[in-house]
Amino acid sequence: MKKIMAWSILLLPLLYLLLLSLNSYFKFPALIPKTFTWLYWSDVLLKNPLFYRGLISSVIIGFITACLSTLIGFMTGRAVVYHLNGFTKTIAIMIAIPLMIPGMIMFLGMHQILIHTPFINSILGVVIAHTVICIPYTSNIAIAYFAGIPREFEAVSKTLGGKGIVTFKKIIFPLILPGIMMSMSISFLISNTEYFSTFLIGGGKVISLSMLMFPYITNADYGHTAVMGLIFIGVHSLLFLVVQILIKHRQNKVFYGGD
Amino acid sequence: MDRKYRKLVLLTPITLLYSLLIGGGFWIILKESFGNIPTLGFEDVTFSYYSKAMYTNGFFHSVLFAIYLAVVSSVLSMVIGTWTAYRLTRAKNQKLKRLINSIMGLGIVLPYLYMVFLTMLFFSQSGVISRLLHALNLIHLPSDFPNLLYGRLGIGIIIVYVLKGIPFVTLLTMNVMSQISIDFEQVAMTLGGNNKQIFKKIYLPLSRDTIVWSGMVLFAYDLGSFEVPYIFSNLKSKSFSVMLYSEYLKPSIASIPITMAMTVILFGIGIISVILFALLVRTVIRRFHR
Amino acid sequence: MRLTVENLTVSYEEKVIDSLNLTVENGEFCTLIGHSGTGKSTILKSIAGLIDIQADDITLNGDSILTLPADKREIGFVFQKPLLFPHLTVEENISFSLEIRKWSSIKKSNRVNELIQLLELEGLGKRYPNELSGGQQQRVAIGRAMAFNPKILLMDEPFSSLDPQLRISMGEFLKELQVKLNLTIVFVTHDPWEALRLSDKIAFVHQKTIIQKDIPSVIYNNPKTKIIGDFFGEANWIEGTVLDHTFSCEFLNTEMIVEDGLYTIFIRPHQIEIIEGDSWYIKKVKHLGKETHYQLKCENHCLWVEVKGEAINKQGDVVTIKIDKIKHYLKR
Repeated sequence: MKKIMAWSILLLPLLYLLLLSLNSYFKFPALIPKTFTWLYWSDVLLKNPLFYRGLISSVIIGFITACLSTLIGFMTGRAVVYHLNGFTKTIAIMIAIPLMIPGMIMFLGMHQILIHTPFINSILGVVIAHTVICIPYTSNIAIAYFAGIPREFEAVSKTLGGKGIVTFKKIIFPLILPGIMMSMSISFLISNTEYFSTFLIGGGKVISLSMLMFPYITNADYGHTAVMGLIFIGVHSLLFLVVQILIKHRQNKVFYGGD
Repeated sequence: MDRKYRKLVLLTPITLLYSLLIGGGFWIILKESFGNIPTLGFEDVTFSYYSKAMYTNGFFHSVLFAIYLAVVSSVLSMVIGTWTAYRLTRAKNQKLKRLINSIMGLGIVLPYLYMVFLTMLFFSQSGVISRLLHALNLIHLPSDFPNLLYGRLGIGIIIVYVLKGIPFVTLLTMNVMSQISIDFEQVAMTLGGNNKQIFKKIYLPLSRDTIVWSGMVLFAYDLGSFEVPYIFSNLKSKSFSVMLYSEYLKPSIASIPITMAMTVILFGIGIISVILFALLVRTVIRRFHR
Repeated sequence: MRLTVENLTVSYEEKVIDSLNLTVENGEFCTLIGHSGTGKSTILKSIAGLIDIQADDITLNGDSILTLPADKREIGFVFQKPLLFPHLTVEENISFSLEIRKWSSIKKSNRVNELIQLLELEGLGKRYPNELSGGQQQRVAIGRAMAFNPKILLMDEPFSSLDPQLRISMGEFLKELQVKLNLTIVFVTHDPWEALRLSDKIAFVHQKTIIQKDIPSVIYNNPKTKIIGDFFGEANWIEGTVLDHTFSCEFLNTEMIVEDGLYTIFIRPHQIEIIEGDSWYIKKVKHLGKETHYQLKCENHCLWVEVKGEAINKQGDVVTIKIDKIKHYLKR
């Protein structure tokens, strides 16, 4: 019984989304629509010139943000685990500063600073803003993965003839790779779901998927929203599934026995 | 020497980004709130804008409203999330566990905007639940169904926050709880402890930090969120982010310092309330498991 | 390869090792032994180049390695925990050092197969570390350290994480391997019996340096200090005087062929025989199955005696002891 309930919570909304995207708005009190149309799909995919621009922008911004925040997050994570005294509460709070400040205020601040730089109203500016809010997540993932590697591995590698870079390439990197992938997909996701920061710092010149969706929702335009919703869910579910498979494949090897 | 150099290089990006963008941004806002905007010809430094900000119509009301929304939704998320995490950790049915895990995962992945959409779909006056009730002959018109979403109490906003909050708390807490060895449970049982006591005395204290942390993150996010309260905004009840946004859009130059002053005040209130909230929750949980 | 360590000093906050000298001959199994925390691991890590040290020199086969970085010293090191790389198979772990040295595929797989045979790891080549038992993991670790034919093998308590039976069998296994391949091994342990079983030479580390280095029987029978003597098991230490080849103290007279003077002798509990008599009485009896331990008293003096087999005497009995001529002593 519980299983049925759980599955229905998962599937019903999706089903409903699908229905909505395929038909005209059905008046109260009908539960299931009677007519179907491709109108909404064609509106979004064919008739909205901004759609593809928004899609590409979202993907580009998401990808660059993912790379940048993962890089910075892992640099920070390495420093915390190897060079500082580990993950103390102080360090945890300092890394999590972007999460503690009310979002709007933080973005207003970023906007004020970026106005004085060439990054304002451009994709790079949005990337910078997104990166800042992703860093807490990527850093934490990095710390977890670096902490899971025994410190002695570097000594072991030395006695076998491996110098610093070799050790990194052959030992440390393979072991943090699942973390890197997880970090990139989370950052990609966060970046894509950001509305306000993209809008404020992009200044209308940068269009993202969320920005396209916002007016539809505000106007309670169910049909178009449903279409965008399905596209979004589709893209990200695919991404997550791929990452999950890749991670599981490697994770099996990483459980360190004998410790 | 080489180690110190490396440490510095590794930590530079995050330090730079945080201090320039967050610290620097705030510094500019602070300056402008005192009226010091050289590029526009404002040279003086004064507190006058602060009083003007505070006397703006609806300022404190929006702050209180935002705090109310954040508190209610965070607390609900924490309570339900912790309970779910606990039940899941102790559940024996593996398939059910994995299913709920996927649902929670989905909840985290879905953006707030889509939660808003789903909420609208289901809870609006002409939404799915309303139509179901009609099919059961409990109501006859859309207006018979209560105006949850756009009403003064901001229930729509709370629903969205809670829908996103529960998976967040659940996943984080479950992660911690599942690491609590089953040995502890068995020890407690041999000492005569029942289920409720095992939860109170073992699981709760050990997961307390995680619960407080996740609650704090939710609270901070809900407090400063813009999209959700904007969509569900009501003439009488506005969250402060919505109010701040409309101030920010005002074209008049004279209002810039006032807006900045508001921002500073809100920042202070925001940080203080986040810290207070965290301390409060921690104390309550401590009291609960003593 | 012959190893020499000349005047090694290691300091952290203060000196941990002070002016230590060590020579290990080619093909020798030398064990560093001592109480916990006396710096035995530090000595190994110094030889391997893993920590900062001061020394006059460290040489292998006559060539100085003092200024070489750790990754160039061609020294094999087996750590206390296997520390196998979890993302690599057994074969890949073993061939790790060969990868770095860019051996050809054929050479690599030959060497790996050779080692897998030698270390009795047949059939496990493609497994991952988390699929192996503790003993198997440690054998892989040994194989990994040996793969590139290091000049010398350093082993830091390699069997301490294994259970007692396994420790003994792994020790035997290692000894056979060492003899067969004529390996030079410096082995660290704090288990005295393991040291006695496996070593060609034992070096006792105490107070920042080596205080005795000898073959096992000499260390066991002729320790230079009480500390070393006690380390290898119970001993009865008795102070007395020698006059005319007779050692005497309050409760004991026995033959001892040395010059006259003051001596401290020691007798292992199993070297004392219990016979009929009335000089000592039995204060305690401990039944240990294959042997029995007696605590004998005579006025204020106590002796421990070990007898094979079950107890013949019981508590309260009166006996006399018989000791062979004394060979183990320290001159005072």
